[in-house]
Amino acid sequence: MKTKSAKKTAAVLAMCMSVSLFAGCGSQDQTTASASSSGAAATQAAATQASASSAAASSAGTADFSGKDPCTLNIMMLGAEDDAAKVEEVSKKLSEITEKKLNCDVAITRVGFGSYDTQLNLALSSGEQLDLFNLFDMNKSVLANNGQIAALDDLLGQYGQGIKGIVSDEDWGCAKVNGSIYAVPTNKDHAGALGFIMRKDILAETGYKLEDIKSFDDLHKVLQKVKELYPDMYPVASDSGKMMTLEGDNLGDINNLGTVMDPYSGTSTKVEDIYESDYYKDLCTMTYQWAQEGLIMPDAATNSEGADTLIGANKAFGRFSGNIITTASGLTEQSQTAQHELVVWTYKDPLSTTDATIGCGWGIGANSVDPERAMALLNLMYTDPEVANLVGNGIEGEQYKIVDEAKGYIDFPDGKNAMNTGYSRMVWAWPNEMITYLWNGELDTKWTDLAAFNKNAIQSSVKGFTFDSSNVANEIAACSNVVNKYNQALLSGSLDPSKGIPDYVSELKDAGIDKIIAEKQKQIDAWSASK
Amino acid sequence: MVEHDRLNQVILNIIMIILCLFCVLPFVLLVSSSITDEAALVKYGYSFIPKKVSFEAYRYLLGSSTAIVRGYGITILVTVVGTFLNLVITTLLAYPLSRHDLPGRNVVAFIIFFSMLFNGGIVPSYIMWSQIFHIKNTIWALIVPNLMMNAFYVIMMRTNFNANVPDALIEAARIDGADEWTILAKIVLPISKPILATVTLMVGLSYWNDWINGLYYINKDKYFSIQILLNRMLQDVQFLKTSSIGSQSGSLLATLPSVGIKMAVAVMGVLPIMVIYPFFQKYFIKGITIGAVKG
Repeated sequence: MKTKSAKKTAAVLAMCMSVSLFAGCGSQDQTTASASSSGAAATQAAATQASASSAAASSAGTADFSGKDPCTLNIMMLGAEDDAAKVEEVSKKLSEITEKKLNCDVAITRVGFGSYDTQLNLALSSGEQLDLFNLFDMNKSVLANNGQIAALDDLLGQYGQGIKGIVSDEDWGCAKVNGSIYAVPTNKDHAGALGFIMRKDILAETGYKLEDIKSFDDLHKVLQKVKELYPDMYPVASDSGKMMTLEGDNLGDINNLGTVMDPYSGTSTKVEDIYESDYYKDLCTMTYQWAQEGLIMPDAATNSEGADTLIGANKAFGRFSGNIITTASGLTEQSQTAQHELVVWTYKDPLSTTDATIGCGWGIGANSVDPERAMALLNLMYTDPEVANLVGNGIEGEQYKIVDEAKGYIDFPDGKNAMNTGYSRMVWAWPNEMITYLWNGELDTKWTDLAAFNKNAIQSSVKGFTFDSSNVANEIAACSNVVNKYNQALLSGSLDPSKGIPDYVSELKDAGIDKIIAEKQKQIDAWSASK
Repeated sequence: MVEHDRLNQVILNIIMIILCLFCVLPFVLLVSSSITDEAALVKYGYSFIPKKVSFEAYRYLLGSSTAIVRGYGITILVTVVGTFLNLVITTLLAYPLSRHDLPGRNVVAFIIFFSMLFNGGIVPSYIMWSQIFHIKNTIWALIVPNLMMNAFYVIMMRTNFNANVPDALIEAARIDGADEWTILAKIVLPISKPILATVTLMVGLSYWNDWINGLYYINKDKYFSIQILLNRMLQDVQFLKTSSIGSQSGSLLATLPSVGIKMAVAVMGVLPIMVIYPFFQKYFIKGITIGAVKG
């Protein structure tokens, strides 16, 4: 069994490599072809602009496609526990709108988020017709360099005016590969703060106030008190094995293989090995001490439960989080899962990075049947509340009911919950959540707060840079294994840092971390020179 | 000498008992956590004796969730149809190859053997199945790719026919007036029951356990088999652990089933195989040890 699966993996790897070889050969032609076709489109547009008929189209904000043949655009989007029949109902409803506005139908496919990358990769590399999709966790540099996704600059100019108005210039910078835009950022939170989330009621019992916590030492005192009051409770839990997020801009790499340690200043672009730093050493020494005192759950690095579930089961007091939205409604979702009111101590201000901005962005496939209409559809999802609500929240009466028409509040219909509506609600991953209904119980300032949060967040000094990992793929794979072995164990205090960190650092060196850092530095230098 | 033997026996038995425990204990833990109350599970962790017994997870799976019942149906359908088709193809391919009077048998055998060592890989396979045969999001996606014929079983069966079906027997049947189909049905197959049972079990098991095809070709929930459902649960958790999707992981996590339900699905996935296995076991050993004993 084992050898068989190993064989399969090897075969898949070999195939991927040879395919990427071919893709490398072909991409040159493909880009020139798409460039020439978009060039043709541009001249065509210039011609139509001269005629009077286009005035109406541009004033309505959408282009006129009635002269073109009708087509069906395929959308691929994340999902969870979706019922294909219900998804089809939403597609039909959306098609009714797009038939009028864009002269096309739409077919939505929802794919579970665990298998999304696999299915999207297969669809893109096999040349299936895929018009519009959420890029989710995929690296847009790799897809763009393989010629699998289309450059969007011209399309945005012509059919995406509505989007252009909403997304800021800095955010467009994050969407670029080699100077061209390849993805449209989703209009959601574009930054995250580091903090410790904890139960409000227990914090009050300890006698400390949230304002009292100003440093890790203060937090330490709170945790000790919690341990005293509730001996059965873990003061600190890990979130499905994830203990905490490290400071700095990790350049979209959760393993922190090369980190810009000081992105807060706005100028530093130096890439360093965070695991060699004093910051990491101090942090692990602290958690090691905490673990010795019994403040951290014992099997934190291998825990498969979500921290919010543990908090909900009265098993844990709090947890670290690396992506806190510091608005008034930022914690409502977590509080719902945890079934207790939560408060947060923020120890590092919100930082906006490329990854937070463009993660879950939207792209257009190189094999799209009609990229122009795909862009027009994306524009519609971005700017038309009716469409945004339909794709994000589903159909009224089926997936939601209106609670307060005037203020725009909705809730699940009677007898339905997040697991059984058949069309999962992931409104944040659709292009523009900020024009959709509010959920019952949310603050009516949620969207304005969020927009302000994005605007006021510290912009990382390397925001806009996207790392292309293809040159060091082997080193990254090797280093990731080392990170899996040590990182969470060190951060959760189950390894003695005085011995663990030197081992960790030397194993990373053997696995080639220096080469990755050098490559990152080289690409960043080239990127900042071109700015 | 006798003393020595006894000592050996004791040591070997202890080793075997330990190995058995390694295999059995995780399963016992699985079953016991599937019948533990959800709150107790999160609070006290896994334990061999449930702190608080509750069949809520099973009640949920069989009652309010159609996905599991449907998944069971799909798995059984796919396993039965797929195993039958595989067995027919494998037998009809292996038997002629075992006959010494088949012209060009070495060429055919080589082609089959070659496909065992090299294959097209995932992207070309995907293109072929999805764009030429259009099996994506149909029940055939779970039956045809990879599993319907396996070169290894063909070669195993051919070798077995070679070893266990003497040429003289076939010759005798022909003299008695039997045609090729009669020889296959009345002579060859009955004396090859062990290998047929072995291949049936192996193929059936690989159909039952398959989730790869589901991952590649299926995203309509009505074709989700039980293993696809189980694998999705595991992958979703794994994904949340390793992805950089930040602030929304909380809302994704909320869509995941609870631990008790995961355990219950795993138990239900493995149960039928455990029930069937003992009945096949005696053939299984005979089928694998081909050619050791000649009649």
